[in-house]
Amino acid sequence: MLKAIRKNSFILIVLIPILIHFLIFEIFPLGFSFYISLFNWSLVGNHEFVGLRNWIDLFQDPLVGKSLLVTFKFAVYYILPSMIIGMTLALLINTKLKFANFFKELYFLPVVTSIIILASVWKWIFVGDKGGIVNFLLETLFGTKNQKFFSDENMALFITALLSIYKACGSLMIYFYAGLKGLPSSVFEAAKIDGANSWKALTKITLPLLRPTILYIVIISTIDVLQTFESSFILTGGGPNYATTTIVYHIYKTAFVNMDMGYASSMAYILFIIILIISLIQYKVLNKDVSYGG
Amino acid sequence: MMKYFASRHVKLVILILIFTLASSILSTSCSKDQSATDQSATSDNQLSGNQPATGDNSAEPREPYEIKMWVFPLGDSAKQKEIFDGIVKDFEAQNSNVTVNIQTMPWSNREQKLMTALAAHRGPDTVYMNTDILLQFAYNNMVLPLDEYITEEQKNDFFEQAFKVNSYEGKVYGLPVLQEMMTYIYNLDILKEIGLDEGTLPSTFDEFETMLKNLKAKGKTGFSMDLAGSLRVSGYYAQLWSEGGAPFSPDGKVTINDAINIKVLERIKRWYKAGYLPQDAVTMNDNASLGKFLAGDVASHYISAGNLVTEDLKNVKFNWAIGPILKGAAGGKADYAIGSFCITKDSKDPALVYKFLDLFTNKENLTAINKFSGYLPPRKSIPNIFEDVKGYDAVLGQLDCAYSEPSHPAERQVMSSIIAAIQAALTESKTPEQALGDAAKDAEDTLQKYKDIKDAQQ
Repeated sequence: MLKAIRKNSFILIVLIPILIHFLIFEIFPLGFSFYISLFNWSLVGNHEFVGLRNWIDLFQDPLVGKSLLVTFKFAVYYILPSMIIGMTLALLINTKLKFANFFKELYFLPVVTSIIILASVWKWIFVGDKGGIVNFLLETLFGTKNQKFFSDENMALFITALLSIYKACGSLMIYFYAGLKGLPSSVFEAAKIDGANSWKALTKITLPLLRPTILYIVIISTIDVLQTFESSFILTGGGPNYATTTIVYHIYKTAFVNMDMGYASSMAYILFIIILIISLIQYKVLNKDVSYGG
Repeated sequence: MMKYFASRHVKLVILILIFTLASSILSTSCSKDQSATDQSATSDNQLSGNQPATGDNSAEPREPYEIKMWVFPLGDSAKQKEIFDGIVKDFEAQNSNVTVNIQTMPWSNREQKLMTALAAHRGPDTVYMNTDILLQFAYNNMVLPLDEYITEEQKNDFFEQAFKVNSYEGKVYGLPVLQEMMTYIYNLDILKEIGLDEGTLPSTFDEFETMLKNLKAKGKTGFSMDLAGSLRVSGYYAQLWSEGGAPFSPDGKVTINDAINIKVLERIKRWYKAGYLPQDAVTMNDNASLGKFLAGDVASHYISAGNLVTEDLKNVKFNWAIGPILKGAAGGKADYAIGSFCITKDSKDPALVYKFLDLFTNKENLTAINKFSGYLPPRKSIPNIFEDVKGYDAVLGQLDCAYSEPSHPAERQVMSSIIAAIQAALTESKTPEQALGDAAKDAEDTLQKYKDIKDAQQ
């Protein structure tokens, strides 16, 4: 072992600060969070040891179930559409057309724009009264009656998810673009010679070869979407009637508005376990070796 | 073995480890030095009776101390800074070795920031708070009782109600700096279309509903009401109190789903369905709601009197007027709230901090603060400072309608449940009875949790 340490001492020198940082800011909070979950505690002032009561309560709390359902619905609205749009944009900017670079920057703009600004504009666009832009267009073009958007329990989550899709598809576009750039051109040339059209090339060659990129994007998008918070916080305050209360928003309210850190910590642990299980399943299902060879 | 330890690489690794460990130990011990102060009250009551309230240069020089104060924008930021800097200058001149650091924080998420700061023992000595948050912090022992510091002069000059609403379990936790009164404001240009003017504004909820109906017939939205923010600020609680109802009974029992609460919610639902309220009311907060009124989009709004001095209202392009407090079965009631300064548990010298607050809230300084912020002074000795502010005469004439339901540390949690119930009723996913029934159950669970913690401590 000493020999191994000696051999890898340079690596250790580089890694140790990072590992200490990881220990202090990741491992310690993880452990302390579990400790807090055993108390009724705001972290400051009064606290009472309750053992596993917070854990038992969260399985009986209908709002935990509802917020998890809202989160999964949000994921369904978000993951596939954002990936399709990201992929489409990547294919578009991967062409040798003029102004492709300009469009690359344009599509990336929402990613670097503050969510606060985007949410303010979104709220203005989707005003639930007649004066709102979308309502005006819908009425003018299709004669539809006034839509309540954020004030409609069935619509609020979808409109909120649209904002997240709009914000994220620029970065997904870049991931797919990087993946496309890494594909060997010889495979496509061979396919062209064999008479494959664009659609066949996309479905039979591009998508299978992009599997590692797709796997990465699916996992990070899932992890990201299961922790959705800003959209609910800024646009709807979790309403109407908890229709946009995601699990992280519920954790936030429990911890910082209700000052119940113990219960919030137990919910955070459950979320961690759910994300871990889903990520492992995704990895198992989607992770297959991809060979570029003949 | 010795050859191994002689190796340069290994020496370097060991050196780095020692350095990192030493840094961690040093930074930990530095933070321990700033851990929570002793909460036992100091017996050195320099402010009682015969001693001057401020200025203590005759005493032995003290250790240097910085009083950290968190405030929030109460009005024009430049004016606020000018006034507060003047107070700080006076205090520092009168108290050697003491500096005051006033930090102006944004309103949003203030309780989270404060809670995080206190948990890390980095909290301010004193912070501005509204009553509902103050009581929650008092319940959690995050702020100190002030009874032993309050002087006779303050007891005599501050309105009794101002201290009462800041009390928890018989102890006062906040030194009042302003009073807020809510009232009704009307866009006279819109009301002209249905034949109303400043002299014929509605005075009861029935008259108000008739006005809303007539406005709707003209294609106008009658009332800008936000139902996703504070129910005190939106006017929901004012309606409830005016009908003789409340979320809690005087003995602390949950009454969220009693007949009066259901009646008020049914009325709001009726207004929403009829289009008297903006369709976004369900998820609108108070800023957005006020914005609609200032933009001239709605005919009326439940507004804080403090807004009467703001440039926003001065610059609107329509005529407006303050209307009477609307009466229900139990008369007319409008929300009355107190803004106070409290002393946090992180303060190492509460007596000194109170000395500063005493100067901060003296008659002269409160006159300046309240005049620029537009809020009512909490001192009886301060005369009417809003003679030249449009609409304030009407507000001062409504002070007998000012009402504050005794708050509870769990008020904000319970309010969240009521808001969800209102939203469920308005979006028709539940009837008002079902929605308020569920909210009542949530509220009872919340109160039980608070009781369990208190019982566990005894």
